[in-house]
Amino acid sequence: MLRVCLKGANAAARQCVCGKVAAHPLQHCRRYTSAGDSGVTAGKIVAASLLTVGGGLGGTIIYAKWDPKFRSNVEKTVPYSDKLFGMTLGPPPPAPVIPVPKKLAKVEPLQISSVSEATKESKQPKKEKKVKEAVPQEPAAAEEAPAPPPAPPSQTIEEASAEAAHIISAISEVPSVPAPGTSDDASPPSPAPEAAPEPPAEAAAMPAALSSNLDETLGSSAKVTMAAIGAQEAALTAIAVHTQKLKEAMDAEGAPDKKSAQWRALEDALDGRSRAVDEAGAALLRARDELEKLREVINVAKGSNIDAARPQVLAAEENLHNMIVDLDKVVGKVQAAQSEAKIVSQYSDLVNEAKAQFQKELDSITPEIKASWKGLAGKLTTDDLNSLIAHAHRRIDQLNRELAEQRVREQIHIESALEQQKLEHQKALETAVVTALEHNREEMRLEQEKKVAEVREVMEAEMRTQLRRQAAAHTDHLRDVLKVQEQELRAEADETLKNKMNEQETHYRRLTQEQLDTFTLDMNAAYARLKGVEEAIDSHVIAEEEARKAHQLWLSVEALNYSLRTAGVDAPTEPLEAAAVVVRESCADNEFAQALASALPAESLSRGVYSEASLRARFQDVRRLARRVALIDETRNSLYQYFLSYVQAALLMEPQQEAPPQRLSPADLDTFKLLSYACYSMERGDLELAAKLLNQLTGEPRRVAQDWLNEARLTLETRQAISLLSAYANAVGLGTTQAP
Amino acid sequence: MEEEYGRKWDRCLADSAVKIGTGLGVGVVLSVLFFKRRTWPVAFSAGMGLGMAYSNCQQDFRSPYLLHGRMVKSSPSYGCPLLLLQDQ
Repeated sequence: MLRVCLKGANAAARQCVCGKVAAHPLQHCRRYTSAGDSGVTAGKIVAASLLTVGGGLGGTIIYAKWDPKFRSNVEKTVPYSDKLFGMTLGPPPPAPVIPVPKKLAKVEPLQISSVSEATKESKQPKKEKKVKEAVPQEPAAAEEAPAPPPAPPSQTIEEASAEAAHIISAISEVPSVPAPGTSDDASPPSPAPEAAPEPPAEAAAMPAALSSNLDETLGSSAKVTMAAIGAQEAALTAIAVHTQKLKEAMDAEGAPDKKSAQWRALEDALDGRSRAVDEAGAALLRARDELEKLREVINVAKGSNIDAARPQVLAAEENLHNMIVDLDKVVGKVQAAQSEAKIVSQYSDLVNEAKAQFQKELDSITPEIKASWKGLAGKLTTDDLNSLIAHAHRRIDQLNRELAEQRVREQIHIESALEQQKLEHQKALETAVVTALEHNREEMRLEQEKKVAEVREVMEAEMRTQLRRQAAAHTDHLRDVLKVQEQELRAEADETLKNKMNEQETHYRRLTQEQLDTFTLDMNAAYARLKGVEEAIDSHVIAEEEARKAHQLWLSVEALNYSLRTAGVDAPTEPLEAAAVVVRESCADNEFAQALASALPAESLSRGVYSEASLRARFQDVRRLARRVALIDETRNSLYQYFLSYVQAALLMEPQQEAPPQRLSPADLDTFKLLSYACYSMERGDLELAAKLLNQLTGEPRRVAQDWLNEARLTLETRQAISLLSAYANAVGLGTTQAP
Repeated sequence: MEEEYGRKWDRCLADSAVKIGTGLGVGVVLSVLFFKRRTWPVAFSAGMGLGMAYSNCQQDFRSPYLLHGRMVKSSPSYGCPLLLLQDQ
């Protein structure tokens, strides 16, 4: 039945389970499929949206990277996009700056007499090639000279102009007008082609460097100019010498030796003159170069607009002008000398020509006669002489005719010459005037510049004073403001400081107080504990001390007790003094014990006490004697009595021992009775009772028993004291013993 | 104390012996010398000796009980002299 039920239950359960299992998969499948379907579409949607967003962002970022305007726009419109761009692309590019064109300063060509003029007259025909060579070189050099040095990079311009700006601002405390170079620091440099951006470039040089440069060039140009002037003067003298020599050679009709010497000297002079002139020409070239350089440098210096260098620049300009003037003068002199020399050489050429012509004629007439007609004397025939004279006459006629013609033409020639001279004079005048004008102009310019410089200085000084005043006012104002500010700030700072300090102080105080409190608490606790411990220890110590003392007392009492037992058979104990002393010491602070200890009889201390046994033994003797002298007392103490008492003792029989009654009746006060009582108690060990009984004896028996009684009393006393002490020691010991 | 008693008796006996002997001796001597060898001096002196010894002995044995007094003259108002007793 049960099994069946179970089976049924199992089956039912199985069925249920299976059913459930069977039911669910379908649903699950259905759900899976539906979920799967929806999942696919959802996933698609999600992916698509992600893709779109990512694409949009990426595109925006890439485009922003490419186009900064777009980037700025986006940054303006969309918040936090600037951070995103910053993260992904980096900082935005800087705004582009429009370059300012640089001012080109015009370098004026050097206003000097052209070099070709100076060189061409000084050279002989055979040296013209060199001149020609020099001339084309010169213009090239002239072209090159003003050619600019390579423009320095823009950084130096920027830096130098910045420094110049600093210097200017340092001089005047007004915000500086930027130097022409500073305005174009942002632009990339565009190197100027021909005539130079050196003024701004060289304006960048420091005034010190500038002045030193100036000085250098000045010095070198001065040297070279002086050299040129010297050379020119040397050339002048050489030309003069040569001319002189030529004149002499032309005019003089000296001896042939001297003539040849003269001609040689003339040649030498000519050489010297040509050399000098060449040298002069070279020196002049060099001087011109140097002056060009100087002029450039001065222009540069002028272009730098630095006031400190201005007087130097002016001075340099003046020097330059002077040098140019000197050079021109000397060149003029040389030219004049050269023109004279030209005239003289022309004259000499003409003369030579005439001479040559004459010579030729002479040769033609008299071919066999040699050229030198100095050594003719004696060699000529009359024909020759006649022909010679005829020729001479003819020549003279011709010459006269020529002379007449010449005289006729003289006027015309003179006029033409005058005109030519006038023209030339005019030209020279013009050139002189021009040069003078130039010089004057130059001088005036220099003067003006000087005046300008002075005025500028004055102005500068005034401006400086004004600026200084302004600066002073400004500084005063600043000072005041600063003072006020300082005070305010100080007050503020003081207050904050005070507050902070107060805070800190209170905090600190609190902390210290707390610390102190805790410390005090701890200390108190510790102290209390310490005290407790100390008290405990003290009490322990005291207790132990007490215990020790009690123990000691007990020991000493035991020793005392023991010393009682040292009594020999018939000898007393040893003196109890030592033991008693020990006892007294061991109970020094206890009055009771002290009293007890001192209650010990002196005899016991000094001599010791007898033991009970000895006393008992002795008692028998005492009894016997007491029996024998029983009848003797104060009244009856003759020998007869003695005899009678002896007889009585011999005859009287009493019990050896008789128990004493509780109360003694007068009948019991008989000696023999007492003795028997005492014996009885002695035998029972009751020394005390025996002593009491024996104390009742009277008369002679008493005297007989006295010693014994004393001894007994001593013993009893001692024993009593000791027993008391012992009891006390025991009690104290018991009291001090601590339960474990 | 007990020894004292014995000692006393010893002393007593010795003393009596001595006295008696001495008495005898003296008696003998006297009797020989003066009393023509009679026996009565011997006995007399011996007796004297014995008596002396006896008295001595008794005195010795009594000594503890003896009282020594002295007369002190009191004021005549009462008239009777006092007897101060002094114990030994």
